[in-house]
Amino acid sequence: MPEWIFALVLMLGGIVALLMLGLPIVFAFIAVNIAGAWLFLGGDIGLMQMLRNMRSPAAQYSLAPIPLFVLMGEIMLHSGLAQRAIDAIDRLISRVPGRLSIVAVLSGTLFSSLSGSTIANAGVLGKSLYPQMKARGYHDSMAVGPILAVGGIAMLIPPSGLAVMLGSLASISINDLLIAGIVPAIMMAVLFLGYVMLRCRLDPSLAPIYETETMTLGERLRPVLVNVLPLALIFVCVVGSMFAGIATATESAALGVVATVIAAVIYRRFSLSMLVHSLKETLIFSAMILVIICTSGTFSQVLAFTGATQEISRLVVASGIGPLMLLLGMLAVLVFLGCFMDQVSMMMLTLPIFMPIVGAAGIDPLWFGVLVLIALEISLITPPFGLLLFVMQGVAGPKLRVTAVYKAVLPFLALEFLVMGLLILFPGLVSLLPELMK
Amino acid sequence: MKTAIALYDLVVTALAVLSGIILALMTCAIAAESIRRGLGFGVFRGLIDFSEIGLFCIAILTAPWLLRRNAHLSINVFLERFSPPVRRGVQRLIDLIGLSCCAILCIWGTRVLMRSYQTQQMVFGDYVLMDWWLQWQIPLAALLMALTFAGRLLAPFHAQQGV
Repeated sequence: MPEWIFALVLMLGGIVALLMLGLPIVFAFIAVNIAGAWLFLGGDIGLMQMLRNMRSPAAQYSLAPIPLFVLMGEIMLHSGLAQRAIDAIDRLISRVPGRLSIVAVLSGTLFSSLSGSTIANAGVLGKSLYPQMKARGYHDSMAVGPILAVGGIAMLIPPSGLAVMLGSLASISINDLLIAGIVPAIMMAVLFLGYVMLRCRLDPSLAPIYETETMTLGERLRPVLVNVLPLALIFVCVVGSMFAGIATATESAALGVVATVIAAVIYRRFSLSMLVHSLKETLIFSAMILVIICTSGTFSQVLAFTGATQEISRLVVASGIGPLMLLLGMLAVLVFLGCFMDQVSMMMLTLPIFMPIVGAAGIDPLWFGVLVLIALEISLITPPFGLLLFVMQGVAGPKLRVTAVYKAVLPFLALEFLVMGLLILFPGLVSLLPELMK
Repeated sequence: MKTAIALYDLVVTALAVLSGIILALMTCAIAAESIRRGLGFGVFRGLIDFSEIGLFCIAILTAPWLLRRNAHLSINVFLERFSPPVRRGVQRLIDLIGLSCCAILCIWGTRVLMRSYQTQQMVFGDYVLMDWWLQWQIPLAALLMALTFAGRLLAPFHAQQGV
């Protein structure tokens, strides 16, 4: 057996086996890295090299937005600013079928533009809206589905920690990737909204109309002006500074944190304990991701050193398969892996193999990056093991059956695939904003 | 034994607190620099180096604390489907693999640190740093994590022995 095939089987097979066993992802990567370094990088010297390799992947200034974007979202969440924004949107929407589902989509999209965490997004919406929806007799398809679907938008729309990680691992411009995610995210939100409104119009029993507090237009609009618009300015500050080329992604993320702290102070929701709690939660998420990134250097190095990366790329190109089919194949692999794997592992496993293929086949890396983000977003709600499905079950408790969750997300999954299809057919939708930026 | 456990807890927590402080400082420094640069006052020399080393320290120094809290990302869906005796067996296997990995990281990490110290290697950036300043984190974190895994492996044994 050629060495590169042995290396590929050992590294990829080993990772999948150890992950399925339940070993924490970082230790699964360390274990196969140790085996790979010992066998292919020269034994003792290979292990010394592996240790030295651990610093450079995480010690990159371009990765700084990961903790900063997360901190921004955590402050928003723990200061109660996010809840105030959701309440304001809740007051804005009047007596319509599927009212709370509409509120979920709108406030989820808003929160996505202020937080980089899909879990926080789904969690906060689930906690605040799901009990109300059940109390109002909403069917699970209209209660669970919109919350889960819109939860994943946080991955696409800036600030997105995982987009930063993808950009860094795949050597795609992080600024471009963050900006390019906006159009697909808006397309998704609009489709989710349209679907909810149409379904509830056709079958009002799914989300019964109920009487809301009678308010004048001014009373409805005031909370939006007071609690939502100022927060939208933070999004403008983060995205606008990147878009105008004034700041890098790292700087705009730091400015976003400062703007969020200022907002918390102005709304009198700032406290030291809130800040410490936000920092603690940020530390947990960021360290979890960064320590996995530390292991990415040796993993890629073993695959490259044994020739596995180049051979796969060469075989794929020599096979004569067109770029479109290659693209579809790679996305299919991601969607399949997403059924039982988390987003970080998926990126770590596939990008060292996919990116040389992308380069060799002449596929636009930015276009590919956005499609990968959508595939990752889809994987968040793909049965049976999509991460957000469990977040929702955790929020809703044992009364919510897992089969009901699966059924509820299916139409939204179809809509996400539709957006993916549209972006494949019309690549210009991805490059629209980055081109404008230039 | 109690003193040793208390010391272990103290070190693990102290490293996590240090990471939190680095994170807070990094956030303030990057934000201050963007504002300063926007106002035309130039950049903070060494900020990029500080942020890069900071990110590495956050990743490594927080890892033992995450492990103690069982907060490392893992895929438990299959593990949870096993019967309790099988699950216990698999959990011990996981702890054993984790212990082996951390022991190797600790031993080879210490060798890298020693060599770096003996040869007085330097890292050149905005400031010149000694390489060993950036090499102590992995062996220390690996040692603490090895102790965590070892503790988990020994815990049932101690329970059986009534210790």
